[in-house]
Amino acid sequence: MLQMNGIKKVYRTELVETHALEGLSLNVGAGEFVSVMGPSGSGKTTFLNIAGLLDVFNGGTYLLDGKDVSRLSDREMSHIRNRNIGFIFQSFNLIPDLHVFDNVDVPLRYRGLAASDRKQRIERAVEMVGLSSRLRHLPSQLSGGQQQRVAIARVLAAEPKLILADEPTGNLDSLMAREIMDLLDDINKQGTTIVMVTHSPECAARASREIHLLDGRVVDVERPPAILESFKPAAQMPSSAAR
Amino acid sequence: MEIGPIVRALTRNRTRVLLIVLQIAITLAVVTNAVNMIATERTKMKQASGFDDDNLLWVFSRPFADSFGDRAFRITTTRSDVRALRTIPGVKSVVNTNFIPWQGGGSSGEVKAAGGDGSSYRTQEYTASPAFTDTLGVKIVSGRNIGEGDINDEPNATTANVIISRGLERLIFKGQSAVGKQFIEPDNSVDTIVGVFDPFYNPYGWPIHEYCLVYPGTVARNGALFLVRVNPGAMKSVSQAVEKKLLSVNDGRNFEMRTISEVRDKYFTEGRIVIMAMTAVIILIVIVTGLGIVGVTSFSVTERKKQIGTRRALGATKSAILRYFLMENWLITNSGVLLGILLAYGLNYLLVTHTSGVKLDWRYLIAGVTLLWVQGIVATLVPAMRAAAVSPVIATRGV
Amino acid sequence: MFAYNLRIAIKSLRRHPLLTGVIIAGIALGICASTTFTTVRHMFARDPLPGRSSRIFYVRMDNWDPATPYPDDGGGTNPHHVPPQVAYRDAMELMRSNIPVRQSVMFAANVIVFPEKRAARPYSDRGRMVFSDFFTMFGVPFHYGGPWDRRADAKAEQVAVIDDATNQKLFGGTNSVGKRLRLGTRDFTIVGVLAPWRPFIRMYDVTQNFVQQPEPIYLPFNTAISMEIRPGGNSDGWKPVGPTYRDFLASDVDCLQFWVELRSPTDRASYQTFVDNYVRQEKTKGRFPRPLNNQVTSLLDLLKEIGIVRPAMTAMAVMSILFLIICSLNLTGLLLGKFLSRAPELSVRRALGATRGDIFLQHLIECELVGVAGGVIGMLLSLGVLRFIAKFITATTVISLDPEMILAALFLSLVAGGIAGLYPAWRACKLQPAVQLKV
Ligand SMILES: Nc1ncnc2c1ncn2[C@@H]1O[C@H](COP(=O)(O)OP(=O)(O)O)[C@@H](O)[C@H]1O
Ligand SMILES: [Mg+2]
Repeated sequence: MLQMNGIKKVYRTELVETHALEGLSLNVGAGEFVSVMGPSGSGKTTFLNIAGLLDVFNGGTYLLDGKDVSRLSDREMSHIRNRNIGFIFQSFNLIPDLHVFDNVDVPLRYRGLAASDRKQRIERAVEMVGLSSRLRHLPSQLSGGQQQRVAIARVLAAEPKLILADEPTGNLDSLMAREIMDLLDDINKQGTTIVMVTHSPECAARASREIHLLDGRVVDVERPPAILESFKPAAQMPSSAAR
Repeated sequence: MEIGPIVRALTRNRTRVLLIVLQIAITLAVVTNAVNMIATERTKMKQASGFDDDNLLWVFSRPFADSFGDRAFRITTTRSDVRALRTIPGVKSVVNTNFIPWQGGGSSGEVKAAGGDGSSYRTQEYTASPAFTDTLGVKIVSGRNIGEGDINDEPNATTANVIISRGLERLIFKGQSAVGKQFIEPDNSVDTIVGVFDPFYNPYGWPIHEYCLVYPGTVARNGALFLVRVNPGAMKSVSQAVEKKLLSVNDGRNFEMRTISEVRDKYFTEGRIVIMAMTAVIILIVIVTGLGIVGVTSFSVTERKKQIGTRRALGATKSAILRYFLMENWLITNSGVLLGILLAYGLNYLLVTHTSGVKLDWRYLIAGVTLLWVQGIVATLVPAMRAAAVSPVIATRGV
Repeated sequence: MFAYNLRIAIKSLRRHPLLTGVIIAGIALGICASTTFTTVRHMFARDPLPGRSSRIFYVRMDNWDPATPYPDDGGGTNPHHVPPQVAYRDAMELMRSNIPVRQSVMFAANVIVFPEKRAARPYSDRGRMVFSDFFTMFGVPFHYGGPWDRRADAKAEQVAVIDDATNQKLFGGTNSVGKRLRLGTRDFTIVGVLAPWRPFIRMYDVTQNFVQQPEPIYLPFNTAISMEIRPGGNSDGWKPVGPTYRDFLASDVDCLQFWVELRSPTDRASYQTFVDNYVRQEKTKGRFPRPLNNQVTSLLDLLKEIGIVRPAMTAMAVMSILFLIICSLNLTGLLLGKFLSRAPELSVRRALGATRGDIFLQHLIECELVGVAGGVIGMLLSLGVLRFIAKFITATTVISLDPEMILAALFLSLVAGGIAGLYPAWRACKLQPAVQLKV
């Protein structure tokens, strides 16, 4: 799914050069649920940005789904983000002016889907996160956990192959965090690959593999890659099955 | 495109939207009415006199020498003046007349057609030498011109051969030829119409702009008045030569000179001020409103950086972001335009009822709407491009 | 606290010089346009003779053709339209009344001036033939000497009043009272020299080009008549007139302006009766064939009737005020954006103890600063534009801002700044300290 080899990322500001990633190498197989941990400033967000094609890198190779993504145009990257990647952010990143339905709708709009298709997907996704009664609520009218569930619905409706989550429970209390983790678990069981940055060991334990970053490098892989290969391909997502 | 969500998002920023909508609406109302005012004045200024305005020079001699107290002397000097002016190189024709085009007035009187129904008609009346038609550049369209032989400077004369403008012919004789017909003046003197000239237009305090009656005669009461027609391009050299030439005839006097273009400009002063002022208002309004849109859109881009980044992360292309802002602005512009159309007609109603304005031409409204659309696009483009340049990385960063 | 708020406001303005520039320029343009065009209108609309105008009346009598009324401006036949001037013989009869405290019939005519210096060429200049009361009635300022007395009027003496410019030209600006001045064929004694006098409207003769400046030379009316000077302005007649000056004096040609000063409404009423009685009496002699229609009109009413305030001036004033409104809306939008984009900073200030009032004041001060800056710049611009427009209207008149207009413009800019800034400042002070710190 995701193969990174010797990825480098340097931030240049007027005074200093920050080497946020220094030759990061990592493979994530299809259907895996990987958690990424590491102290603050170790490069976790940077790694996610590059993985999600939000940012460019300065060295190394990155194959996404077997495809080299280092030379894609902005337009092509937008397309890949739109179709293949779903993001869950620590601060939810819902659009404050739009109510739940419209928020979930955003990626679908950019995909140019027909209205009936979008409506069906949105309603199903919102139902899966249990917010069907809140379709016309604005983000400011929802609790943090509910907002994050809307963000997850936004991902679900788009049916990406890969979900990237940056501390999805960082702004939530433990009860809400558990709800979110349950949801992610479910999604992963349907076959979607998830890479999740987290500070909480509890959350990290829910993943099938933990990766530790330190100063822009992977320092420790909990389970050997061999085990990975023995993983059974995950079940298809319901909607894919329907097709 | 995604109109529904844009509209719903706009309703969450009511004040910002309302401000621009109002601004655009008033802009449309003011711009269209300003254009309407300009057009009205332009139409007025397009009115042609029918004369060779650009090549006419008005010369007025003001005598101070005692010898001018004698009427016969004044008349002979005036005749010499005409001959002298004709010798100036570049002069095409010279007439001694009390008519001055574009003065905004003149002299008028009432006449009755002999044997007519007895009704009186008010018409402009001037005295002139036979070169009247040649100098103004108008044509005798029927009958003949007045000639030197028609001139009778006797103050108590009771008959005269006259020429009239075609406008007056139509007014009084209703399609019949005026040549050979007669007018009875209030003092019972009789004018015989020998010819009809055309065109003639001279704005007057009363609507008799196209009616004119010309008596053959010499104008030399308090001073002598001349209209000089010059060859194209000769205005400068002729006007420099006039004073010297006339002083050589008699130096007991001073002169005033004005080109008819100057007189005409003066007549249209109000129109020119209106045109300049309204043009300035239009330009300034478009700039101010344009800058306003740039400013407000810029702020809203800054304010929405995070959500733009999120959209980009969720797969929006740069052009999608650009389109989003342009579409948003277009919707706002159109709401402003709708309100503006109402305001434009309202303002026009006020101008028509209170300031003798003219009814708004709907074509200016269409032009105004187009202008606002273009302005909206141009003004939104810069901040919208800034929005499109927002990096998707913003989405994962705290701020 | 106020000083601190002022400092924050100035700092905020200096942090975004471009934005501040745009905002101030917008207000300046709005103030400039509205001040300019309301001033132009105001110049024509204001009372040309403050304090006196209500006592000054213009007299007209309908001595026109029985067959058709005097044509109105539309060329139509409004039966109440009267000739704008009066005839000599009637004026002389009306002048006998002692109801008015002052009165003068008058006309304009060119006179030929023969300078003392042999080398200087004689020239023709505009003169006005008046009675001595004219100078007091219309508040004419004198530099040297004063008006001739009423005896000089009665005896048709050869006395003259000249204006400042003529005194400069002929006598080098020295006190020329008592000096001789040759006009046409006669010698006059100068009794008065005017101080510079630039009324915006030549209110005592609105029958022709009323933005023209007052005449340079003033002579007693009766003296001018004795010199057989013919009135130079408009003249209206409907009956044939003989060629001699005598014929003219005896005719019904309306060519003189007749002004009276009446102390009270009672005097006004009795004067109206006096004029009506005079006309009734003339009717018995076969004159004044039309229905009785005499008008004693106050100066301000006359100016209104003549239409001194051109409709286009009102239209332009309206448009320019709408422009100012647009500029204010623009200002509101920009300030709102600016203030709200500063929300995080404001939240910190609020969290650190600034009250709502502080925040509100800080922002209102910022608005008023740009408002006043824009107002002052706009007014300076307006002075330039007015000078330019004045050149168009007349070469000699200066249109400028009078103190009234300057105050109005300043007030307008304060109001524009205040109204435009009120809402943004209110929004800024409503920001919750907590909301913005959260995220
Ligand atoms: N836009 C940027 N400019 C400069 N330095 C940056 C930027 N973004 C991140 N960094 C630096 O890169 C390093 C890694 O940051 P990040 O990936 O956000 O860490 P983490 O998410 O693990 O806390 C940090 O030292 C941070 O200061
Ligand atoms: Mg991070």
